[in-house]
Amino acid sequence: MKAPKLLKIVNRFLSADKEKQYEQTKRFKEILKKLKKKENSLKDKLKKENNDKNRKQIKKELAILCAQRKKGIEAIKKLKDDD
Amino acid sequence: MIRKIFLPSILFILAYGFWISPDFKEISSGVAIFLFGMLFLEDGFKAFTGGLLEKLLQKTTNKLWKSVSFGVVSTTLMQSSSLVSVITISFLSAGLISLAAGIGIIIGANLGTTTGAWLIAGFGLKVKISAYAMPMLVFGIILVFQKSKHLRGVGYILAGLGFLFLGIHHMKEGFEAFRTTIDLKAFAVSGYPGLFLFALLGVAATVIMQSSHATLVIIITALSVQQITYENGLALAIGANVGTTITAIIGSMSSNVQGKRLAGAHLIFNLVTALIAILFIYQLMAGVDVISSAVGIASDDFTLKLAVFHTIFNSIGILVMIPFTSYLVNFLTRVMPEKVVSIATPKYLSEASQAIPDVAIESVRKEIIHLYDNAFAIIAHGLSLHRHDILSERDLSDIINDTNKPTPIDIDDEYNRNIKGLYSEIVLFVSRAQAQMTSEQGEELFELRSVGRDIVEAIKDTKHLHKNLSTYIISDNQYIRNEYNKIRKNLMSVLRSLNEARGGGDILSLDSRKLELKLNDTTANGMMEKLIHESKISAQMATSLMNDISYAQDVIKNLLQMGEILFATGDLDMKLAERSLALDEDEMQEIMESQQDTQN
Repeated sequence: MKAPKLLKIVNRFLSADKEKQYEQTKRFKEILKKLKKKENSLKDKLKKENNDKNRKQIKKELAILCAQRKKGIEAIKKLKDDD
Repeated sequence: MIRKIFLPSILFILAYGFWISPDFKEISSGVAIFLFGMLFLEDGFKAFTGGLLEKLLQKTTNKLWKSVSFGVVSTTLMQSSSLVSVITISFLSAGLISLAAGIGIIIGANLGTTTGAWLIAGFGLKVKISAYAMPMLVFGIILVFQKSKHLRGVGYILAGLGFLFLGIHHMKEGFEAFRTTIDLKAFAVSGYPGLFLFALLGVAATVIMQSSHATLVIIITALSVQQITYENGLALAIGANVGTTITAIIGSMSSNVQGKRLAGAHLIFNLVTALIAILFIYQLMAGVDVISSAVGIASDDFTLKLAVFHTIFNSIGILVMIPFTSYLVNFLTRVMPEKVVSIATPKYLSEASQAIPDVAIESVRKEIIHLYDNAFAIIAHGLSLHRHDILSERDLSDIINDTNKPTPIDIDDEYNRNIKGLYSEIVLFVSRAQAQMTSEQGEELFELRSVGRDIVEAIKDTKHLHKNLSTYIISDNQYIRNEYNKIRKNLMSVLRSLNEARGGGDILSLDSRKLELKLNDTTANGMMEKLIHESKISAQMATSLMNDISYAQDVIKNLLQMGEILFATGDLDMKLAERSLALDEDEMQEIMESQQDTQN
């Protein structure tokens, strides 16, 4: 994991009390839900798109969303592992 | 409407005047050269601000008696009160002295100028400093080309003085036609009406000849051939004293409000002195007789008596006006106010919001958004774009094609007015507010403060970028024009994304801009090398482009960094969680590589 910023934030959450950790997990889940929704809508858009240039652009955005979601899932996992 | 037609009307009137009268042309060109000299002089003195001259002037003019003495001595040496007054105006415009000190010098110059009357009367001597005008111009211009700041300053001063004299010379030449029409005998009227009439003639003659000394010479000549009465001769001298202020008034036209105030002070001072002299002329004449007989001047030696009179009435003026100097300063400051420059002030920061941590954080966030709005305008104009276009849904290429003219903008001035003060207030507020916060809240506040820094940096980079961009978007070379338009397009698209993120609170969407930035970097470099290789752009263009691409990337980087922090919504935990998911440099690199692999 090459994200010191994420580690810093997760560590801060870990040092907080249980209730707060639960709250934090909830925040990450909320964001993940939003990202998933966006990902699905982009996938639909990709299916309908024929223009090569636009398809490339959508693929890039999907890759970014995927990476962001991966980070979110890892953060939740860390929070849960420590629980 | 009036403003719009004012300049063309003036230009038209001048052009018509030039067409019908060569003398008018000569006089106007004289005024123009004179003003040009004033600008040079001010530039010259500016080179010495913060240095020896400033210290010297401050030491020699910090008290009224000192500034008056300064005026007396310098006018005696230069034999021209007009010159001393215009130099004083340029000192004032360059911020080297205060208005009160300037008034002191002018008062002193009025006394110093009386030594001229003595020189003329006693020795028939006239120091003609204007003889040095041409050498001054030559030496001045040579020095202007030197590298040393101080030598250049001296050059500007010398050339400025040269131009002043050259301007005066042309004004004199132009007025030469009117000079012969002054037949003093034709105006012989006795009593007070005569006195006022001759005083006015004295004003007119001095304005025409641009020298009170020249008027004095005429008076003495006219007195010696009894063309005028002694009484009228004195009135002429009084008028000459008022007329001599015209040089200062013309000089102040090119100066700032301080210079104009000083010219106003000069006029008021000389008018009041003249009025006193006219009202008490008979008493003054008696005084002159007493002094003249005491020092052994013959009762019919009008020349020397005129010199005595000149000295007495100027001394009286000084004695009367000195106690009112501070009132005069206040009056002029009130009548001629400094043009108020609108400076952006905080909208959301207050003592009350400082006390409650969450409120303080929100206030700072809103204030930084205010700062960003101001910065947005500067950046947009710096890229020669309109804000409404950026915020519209129009196609970016269409906008670029439609806005192909550089927008004139002084980014430094805009920064000083709309950013600097506001940013300082934010920094001050943050340092005060953080005292009562938890470490988490404090950290958020610092993050927000760093956003302010990002905004400032983005403006500074835009300033660097603006210079070449304004040149190359109208270049005949289509390749360089295209490259600069690409920079504009990229930046416009980032500004649009920021606006979207701001509206929807979706800061993670900015990551796709980060990826774009990385990809553009590679493409731009490849494209540039191709253009250089194919000799489509010159080496100079390539260097500019290279620097400017880097400035543009810095602007984008700073703005994206700002957006990530500033536009996150929800409570503090939500903001932190969302920011922690934004991709960093390495993760971006990974995506970029995977994208390239897919393409291959």
